[in-house]
Amino acid sequence: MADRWLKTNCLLAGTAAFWLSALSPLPKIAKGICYSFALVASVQLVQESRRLMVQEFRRTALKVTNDHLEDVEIALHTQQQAEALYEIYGATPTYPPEVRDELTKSLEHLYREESADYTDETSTSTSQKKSLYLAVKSLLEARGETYVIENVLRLGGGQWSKGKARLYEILEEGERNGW
Amino acid sequence: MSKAIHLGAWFLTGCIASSFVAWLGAIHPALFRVMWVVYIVSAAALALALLTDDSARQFLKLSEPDYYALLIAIAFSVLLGGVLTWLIGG
Repeated sequence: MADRWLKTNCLLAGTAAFWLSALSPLPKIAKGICYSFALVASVQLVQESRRLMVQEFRRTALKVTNDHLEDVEIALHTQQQAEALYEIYGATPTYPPEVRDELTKSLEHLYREESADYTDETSTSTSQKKSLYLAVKSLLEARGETYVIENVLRLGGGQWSKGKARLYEILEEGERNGW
Repeated sequence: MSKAIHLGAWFLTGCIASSFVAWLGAIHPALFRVMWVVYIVSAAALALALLTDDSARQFLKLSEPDYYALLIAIAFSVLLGGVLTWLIGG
């Protein structure tokens, strides 16, 4: 079966052609034939275009329904997945209670640890302390006490006595360890 | 698009029918009177439809602009078919 659009367009063209040829100077019998063909074709065209309208309307309605169904299906699928995930992870805990308590405790321990209050000596490693001691000692010989306190320990100005104490602490520790 | 073709098909049918009536009136003097009767009757029907627009509109279930557009289209198609046949087809 031919496409309905093709049929409608052919009928439209045929109707117009028959009408125009009926208007053109032809013998009476030919004009009569053209008029009857044009009338028949135009009636057919009306019917065919009405069928085309109905078909398009039906297609649009079907498409809208299908889109809606698809949306509903996607929503249902998502909901099912969410329910499954909730069953796995939501209500029942993943870890047994004792492990969970332990984890909570260690987490609390971690974030309550007062690492900010630790001084440099305890947080720095031994090799760092050793290199600091060696550098301070060589700088003391080369540039003097003032330079070391101001530029290495950064305790110049108002913190002079503190800087001096820190310097002696470093030197004493180094000598005690025999670096 | 299909609705436009449908309305155009109705318009073309009106044109062809009016043209056919005008041609029938042209081929024989006896049919000339019949042609005028047909045209006068259709003109009277159109005038009646124009005068009783509100009640006819309720019967056809059309909105007011649609109804007037329908009347104008019918009048124009009848006029176009008749005048074209009179001028070039007679």
